[in-house]
Amino acid sequence: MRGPRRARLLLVLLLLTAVTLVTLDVRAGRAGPLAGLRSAAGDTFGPVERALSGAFRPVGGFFAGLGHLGGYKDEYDAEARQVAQLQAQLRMTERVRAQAQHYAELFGLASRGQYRIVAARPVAFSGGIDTESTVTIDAGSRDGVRVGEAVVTGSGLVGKVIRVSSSTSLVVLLVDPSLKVGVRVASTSAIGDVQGQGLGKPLRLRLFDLRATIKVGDQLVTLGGTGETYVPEVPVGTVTAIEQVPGGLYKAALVNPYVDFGGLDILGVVIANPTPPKRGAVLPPPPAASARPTPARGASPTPSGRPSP
Amino acid sequence: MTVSKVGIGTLAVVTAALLELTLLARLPAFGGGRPALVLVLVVACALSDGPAAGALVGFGGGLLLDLLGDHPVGLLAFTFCLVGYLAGLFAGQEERSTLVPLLVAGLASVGAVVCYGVLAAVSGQVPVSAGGIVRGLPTTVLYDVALAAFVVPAVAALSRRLTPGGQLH
Repeated sequence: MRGPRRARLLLVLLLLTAVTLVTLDVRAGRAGPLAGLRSAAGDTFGPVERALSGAFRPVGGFFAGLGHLGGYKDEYDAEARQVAQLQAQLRMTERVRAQAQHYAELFGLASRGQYRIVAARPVAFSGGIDTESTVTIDAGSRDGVRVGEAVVTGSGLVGKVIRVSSSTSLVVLLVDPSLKVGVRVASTSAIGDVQGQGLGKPLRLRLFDLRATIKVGDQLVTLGGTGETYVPEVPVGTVTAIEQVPGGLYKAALVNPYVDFGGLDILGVVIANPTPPKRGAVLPPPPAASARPTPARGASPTPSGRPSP
Repeated sequence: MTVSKVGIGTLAVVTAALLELTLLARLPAFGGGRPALVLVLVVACALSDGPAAGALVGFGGGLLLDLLGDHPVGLLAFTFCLVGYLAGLFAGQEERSTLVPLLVAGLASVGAVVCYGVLAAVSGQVPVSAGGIVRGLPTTVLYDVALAAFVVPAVAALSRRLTPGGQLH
């Protein structure tokens, strides 16, 4: 009934269709005819993913717990990282500290009432064959999430929203090579960017000022600024190794992210103000309605959050 | 191919995709490798119903994962369609030894990961590194072979029940 010739014909037809789809999608980018199909798929399967994820969450917790059984090394690493952080803080001079305080106040003021955080949890992760590091979260356009917004946890930057359906959003993680984030070295204010190298590998930092000093233990925060959706001053990670770039146009270093991407639990999407403030408008309107002064650092307003095992 | 077979096949593909993204993706991912349940289902359908079924289920399953992921639509559809067709050429061989389905599933995983990596690199939209692909490969293959041990017999039994006149290929 179905000979190999018909099967071959079917194969060729399907492969040609797939190639056509790829071409269409690559050519048209994020706004092409397939975007509608994608958002329809998100709208259809988002609720199912949310429901399933609630049932399956303990599975992830179980394996995360297994990891902690032999977790003395993790604990040691955590302590070591904390020591490194404290040392980095100590190294900041009084003047820089005062400056940092000043800027923190400024940014705290600027962000007060300007940003809002929507709490979300991961419901689905990238699949078996593809190489991307993404996570689907259970907050979507009806919660006010929009493409380009930053996703954070209490410990630092997680990634960026790249697609939104009504009840879920797709977030590309900081460790994904497709994401590049502008950062600032906390102690020296040197500017650069970090790029992921895949899950489980450190981020790579590039500093554009060749005279800038960078050392192991330096902390990085997001740059933010105009034209960027990232909130400034969100912690990104610590420098763990300096790379030598022979004859390079930039300085490079490896960075350990603060966020544990293997055990993502409660996340916050930083919802930007619908009407972004003008450049000079540092002082916000009276902060009567604002609950959290620096929303970029606190991630989970939900009290129902399950503590990680 | 009967109507009930198409319906149940579609349901199976959707279920597999949702399980892969919500449940299996929570399993430990050594080196970044994760279980690929949809691919295993494609291999199982191909082994029980031949290359045409493999290509068709592969295209559908790949397309669904494409739509739910970040990479260009069509990359996984192409990959799984090709792998499904090739796996279907081994249909009927699984009676020789129980190891045949496992071997085919392992080969299919390697083929799919490599094929996807090459396509992704060619498309220019997805940053891929050969090192990253190689690091995750052993984990994916092991998971897939383990899944195939359960999925292939189940699909074969179901396919026999849904086909009144015996084997189709």
